[in-house]
Amino acid sequence: MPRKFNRSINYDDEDDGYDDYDDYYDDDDEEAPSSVKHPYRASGASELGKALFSPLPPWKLKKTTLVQQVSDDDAVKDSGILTRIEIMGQNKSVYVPSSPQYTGVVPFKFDYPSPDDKVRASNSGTKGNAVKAPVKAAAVKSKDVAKTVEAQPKKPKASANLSNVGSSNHKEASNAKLKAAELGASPKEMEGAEPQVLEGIMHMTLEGDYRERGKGREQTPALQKPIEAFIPESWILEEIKQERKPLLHLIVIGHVDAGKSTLMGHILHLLGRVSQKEMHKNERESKQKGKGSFAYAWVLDEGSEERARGVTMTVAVAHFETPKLRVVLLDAPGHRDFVPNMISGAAQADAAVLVVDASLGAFEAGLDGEGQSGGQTREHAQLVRSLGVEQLIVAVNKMDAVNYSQKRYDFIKGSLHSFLRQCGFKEAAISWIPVCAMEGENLIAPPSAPALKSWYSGPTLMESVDSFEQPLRNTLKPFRLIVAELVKTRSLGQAAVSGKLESGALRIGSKVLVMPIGEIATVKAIEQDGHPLTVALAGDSVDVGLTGVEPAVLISGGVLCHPDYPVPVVTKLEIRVLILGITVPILRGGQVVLHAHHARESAKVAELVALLDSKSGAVVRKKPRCLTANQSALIEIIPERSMCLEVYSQFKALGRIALRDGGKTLAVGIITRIISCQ
Amino acid sequence: MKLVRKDFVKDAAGFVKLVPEEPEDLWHVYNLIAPNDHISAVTVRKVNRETSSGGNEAERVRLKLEVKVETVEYDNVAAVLRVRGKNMAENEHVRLGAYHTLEIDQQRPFVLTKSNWDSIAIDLLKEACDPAASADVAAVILQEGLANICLLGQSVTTTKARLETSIPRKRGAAIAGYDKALNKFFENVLQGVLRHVDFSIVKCLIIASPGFTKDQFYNYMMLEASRRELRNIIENKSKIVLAHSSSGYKHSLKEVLAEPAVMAQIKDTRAAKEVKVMQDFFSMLSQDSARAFYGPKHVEAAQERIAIQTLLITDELFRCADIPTRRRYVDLVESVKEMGGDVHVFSSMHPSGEQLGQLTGIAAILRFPLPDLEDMEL
Repeated sequence: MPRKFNRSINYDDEDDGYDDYDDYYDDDDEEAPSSVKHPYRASGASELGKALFSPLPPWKLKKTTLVQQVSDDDAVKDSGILTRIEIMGQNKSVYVPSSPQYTGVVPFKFDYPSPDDKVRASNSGTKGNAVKAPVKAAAVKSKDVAKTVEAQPKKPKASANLSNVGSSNHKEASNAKLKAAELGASPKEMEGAEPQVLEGIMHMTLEGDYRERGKGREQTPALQKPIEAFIPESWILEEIKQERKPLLHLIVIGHVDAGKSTLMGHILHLLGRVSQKEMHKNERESKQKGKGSFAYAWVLDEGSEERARGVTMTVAVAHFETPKLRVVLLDAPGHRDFVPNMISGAAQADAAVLVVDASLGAFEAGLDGEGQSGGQTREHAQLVRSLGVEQLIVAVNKMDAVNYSQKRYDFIKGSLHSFLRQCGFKEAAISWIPVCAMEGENLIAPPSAPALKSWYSGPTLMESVDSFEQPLRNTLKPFRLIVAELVKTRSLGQAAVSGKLESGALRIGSKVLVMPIGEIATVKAIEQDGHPLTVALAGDSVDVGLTGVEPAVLISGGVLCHPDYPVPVVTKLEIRVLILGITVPILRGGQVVLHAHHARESAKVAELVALLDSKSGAVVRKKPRCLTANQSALIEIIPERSMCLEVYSQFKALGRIALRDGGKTLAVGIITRIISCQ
Repeated sequence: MKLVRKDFVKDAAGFVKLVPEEPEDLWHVYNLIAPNDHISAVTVRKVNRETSSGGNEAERVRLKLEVKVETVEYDNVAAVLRVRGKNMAENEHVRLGAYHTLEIDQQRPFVLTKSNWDSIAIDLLKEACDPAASADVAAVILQEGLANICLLGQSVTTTKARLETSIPRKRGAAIAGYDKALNKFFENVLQGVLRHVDFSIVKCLIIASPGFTKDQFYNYMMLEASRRELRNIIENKSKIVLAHSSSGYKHSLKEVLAEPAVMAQIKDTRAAKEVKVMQDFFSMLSQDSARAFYGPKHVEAAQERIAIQTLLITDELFRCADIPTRRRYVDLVESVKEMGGDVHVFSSMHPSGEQLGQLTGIAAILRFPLPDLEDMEL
């Protein structure tokens, strides 16, 4: 079991995986003759072709979403090879493995036979054939494809890797199925008896899932569909065809008083998103309070408490557009007490601007902190990376305080660079820009200060933001929206939430399941930045008004999802974590706060499962006594109350977590296994 | 707790007569009573009797019973202790050996007879009957949308109320809704404080939160107090202490207790001492992991080498069912004391004790490192 999970996070050990697959092909050869009655086999057409054009809709879909899925992984670039490899990956996992320790997955196509198949299966003894046919077809086909790949002149090792990526992507399929394969199918198949194999498969598809998902769901087996079985409705496909300006969620992070709100406030002002009147008001009021320098920050800091104290407390949201992108700006608080709010904001973000204060002492405080485990420059950078942000701009702010000195800029760049690399940011994904937020230097227009102009000729902040790429959206997966906040406005009604669509699409009149409570609601209205919409697609952050549900059942950190594809409500989970620079070790029974997307819950460390090698992911020691700084480990966690979570490999946005305690981030990681759920 | 009579010697049989006076005393009694002890107290029992006409008639009879303890239940919130066991005193209504559940309540005297008074039991009795020791602290731990109101006694922490609301976010025109929701939340917390915090008992009221929520709440409370003339709060303004915590969850309480401003107020309470020792243990574990151990086997192995400087143990372990296990822990505690080590018996009703309970309930800081013990699989 653990090996599979290792692979899904860490792509290092892919090669062995490939070897394993070779074995399966051999098994396949032995079994092939016994399936003579196979209908496809009788026809002369190529197996590959048959399978490819089989009428099952998910299969076709797979092709359309192909590139999207795979390019989730950075390693994969060449989509030409991809097409083939992806297919192969699927086929491999299609084949039900004979080795009991193999934890591969049987994909959707065969788990959930088309309605016709179901009817046939239930009608008579032809049960077997209905299910078996595709299995065999695929099995044979996989051999063909394997050959094609091997025949390719390109580096065989790389393609092996790729293929595994493909298959592991696919394996991400569904935890439930995985278990089913283990429980029911594979042991039976070992015996080699055909009817039993089939029974195993049937068993797996019809029973396996909810057995694993727990009793609560047993009454509603109709809900037990894996995500892959989802067939997008036609209107979603229609919507996708329409050209839209890409949408990007940008979070602004950094140490307290680095100038995050001021920087963004000034940009919004320059872009004309703030009316002159409003700006005058801010200037006048901030001067009255003796905080003239906060005029720009007040554009985003609207709360009375925030203004009075001059500190951002919650994540402010603003919208603006660049030539290529529509940007949703999330202004995170920098104060260490509000890191939980920042985590909630970062969970939505696709890219980040890290603002560092260039002035003497301030930068150092942000990185190393005073006597603590580190400042928020450090903590935020680690957090956003672990929460899935890959693209980063480092805005070196307050350059005027150091006379636009290139020496200081280079020093900051030098000391931050290695740290950011260590956090896991890729070299190419980091850009560096000197700015001065108060003076508006190098924000939208190129620098005007001679001291800066003399040595800096790179892009402005705005140009860099514009060069961000929109991450791929899972529009073709079932609808899921993570509730960030509850909103109450007149147009949306009492029961309204705001959040980002992580997958799928939503339109007015859609039925949604409100989790964790499990009630059905109807979408009454959708708004984005105050403008009504009729349809929202994955990646959009929207406000949704609901009817048919009490406002009290909506909670931040809850999930709205497709009624047929509910989100698991988890009570115990296994996570793989990287321990950050902590002083107090993590022990069994430790109390932590578990942060995942917008949810936070007090949780208990139930078990230290294993200490892992931080590079290879191999188990170094089972059941360690305690976990100290910079170690990597598998641990089991029991949240005080159940939470809407998902295994990382299946649904990334719901699978990332951070553990905090005592105002510090102890560990960041991903969910590898759901041990129990409601 | 009032000690009315006592007649025992160490490590021998004997009895005491006690009167619990406060809710916390029941906690002490809970720890004191072990299975197979005898308890006698006045109780009420429903008795069926046949009337002259042949019918059955139930009657509640007040009588004095002595039971041999089998199980003890403690309800923290209701402050009741229930002792279940077989009747040992022949009575016209209750047969010998019939089961009965005694309820031990405040102000009701009872007699506890033990066949063996060990040092732990004697220490516990001494502590329970020390009138100076009682000092209550109330704490409101909050963050936006979540508040816990706790009462910290000498050895019991009770969560009196947990409040949770969703607070809509700030933005544009909705900002008014945010303030309104926040004020409503504060109002609920204030009501909770008024209901659960009795300033005549409580030494201080701690308001703790991350960020500025504590100040916001304090201001709100003071404003409302003067507006509505809440004498209780106005008069006890000096008892209110503001402190920092990293979240509004109950387990942040241990951070609050470790804060110097709060420490000064509750210096001598057991809760504060426990927090300190627990911190020492953790810092030792991270600095020199060969000098800090947890788990009964590791700790016993360390004591064999006379290495224990400080022993941390929860009262839960003494409460455990069988006598040999209890004996084992009592011996361990005594031998550590003999060797000049410190022993801290943690209350499992405090946050730090809860935390220790999660770590098997027993831990030790050593005088010298034992690296070989660290590698041992026990």
